[in-house]
Amino acid sequence: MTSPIPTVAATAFGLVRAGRPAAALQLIRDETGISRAADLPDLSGAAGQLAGAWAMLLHAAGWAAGDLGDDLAAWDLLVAGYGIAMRADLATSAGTLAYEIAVLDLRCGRIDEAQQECAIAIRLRLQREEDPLRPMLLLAGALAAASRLGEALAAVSWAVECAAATGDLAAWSDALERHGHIALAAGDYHTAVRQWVMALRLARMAGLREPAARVAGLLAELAANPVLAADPVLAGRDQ
Amino acid sequence: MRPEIPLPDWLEDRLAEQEADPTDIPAARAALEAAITWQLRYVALGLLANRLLQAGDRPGRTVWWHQYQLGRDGQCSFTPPPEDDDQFRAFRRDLKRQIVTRGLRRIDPAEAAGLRLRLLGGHVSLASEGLVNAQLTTLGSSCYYVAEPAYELRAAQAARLAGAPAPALGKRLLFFFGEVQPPPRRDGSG
Repeated sequence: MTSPIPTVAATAFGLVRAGRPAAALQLIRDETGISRAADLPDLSGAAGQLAGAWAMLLHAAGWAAGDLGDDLAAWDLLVAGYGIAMRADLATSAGTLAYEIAVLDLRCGRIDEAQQECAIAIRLRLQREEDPLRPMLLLAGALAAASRLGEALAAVSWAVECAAATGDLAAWSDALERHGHIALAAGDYHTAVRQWVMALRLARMAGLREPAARVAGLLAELAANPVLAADPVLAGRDQ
Repeated sequence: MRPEIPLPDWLEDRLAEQEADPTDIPAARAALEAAITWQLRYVALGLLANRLLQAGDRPGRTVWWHQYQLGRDGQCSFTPPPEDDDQFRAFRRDLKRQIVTRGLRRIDPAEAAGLRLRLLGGHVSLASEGLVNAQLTTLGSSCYYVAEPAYELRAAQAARLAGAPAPALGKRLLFFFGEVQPPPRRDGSG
């Protein structure tokens, strides 16, 4: 008999993506009887496509639980999915789940754990010969949260470099925005101005209204700072 | 060896001047292009010196020809002419003299990827083609920088940041820098 797990996983994932986390959890509960990690059957022998489907299902469930504010359940589900993906040698799934766990850890203030998960996600992406752009950006955030600003700047510079080299305007703008925040945390106002002005231009070029408005707001706040009143780059930010 | 590529004072001063007043875009662009050109030429000659000082892998006449042309104005030709002219011979002689008198420092290809290029506002790795091109693009330059193998170089840096062992680089560092132009229009009007 064909397993229903791949279909349920794909549908649930689509529901979370569409902003319907409660519907995704309901579907998983109805179709598999799973609402938390403790409900999982023994999956130690799962391999190949089935293991990938379970990892995807747990990813969707964890993501949905997190969106609904149940971080503890979300963490358990994501970790279970990560375990399955690792046992089945599914580096892409494992890397994505490690990244999601890191996001959750950072949100819950578990900074050391977030750094470790980011490092795992980066290694797994590299193993697949993929640029670890998102986990590197998150690692930069985690390092900055731990006040390790020098390392945070190195990580975010790598992300800026990677996005610029691959020509991904949205990621480039995002990386520059984060670089600006870290520079500001380090007290380097002028670098923050330059990174944000560039981020604003790229966001506008890429037609990204929300990031463009957000960065424009950040620059407007900086423009009110008397220290930066004479900064020529800030003055010409709308050119 | 220091990772920063040494710049002559006049070039360092020119960059510093633009950093102090970042409003003159054409001047900043010219200073940046001049600084990158100088530094990449320094690295290229250092790599050539390294090959000359090795027992095997001696550079052939074509390699010499390419190096010679980098220092000349005007149109470049890929293939050397059948006969060496006086200027080409003088270039080879002068370069060897500089190597012997340590005026030119040899650069091992293995350490080249770790060298740092001076741009406006600081240094970046020689492998950071994205950051170099980002600054050139921002200033409206028609120059472009290519470093290969770009992915492997980025991956090695990412691995270091994530505390993972850096993968061994299987290929030698190659780089190109120069003016690029958009492809001709299909309707033939441009």
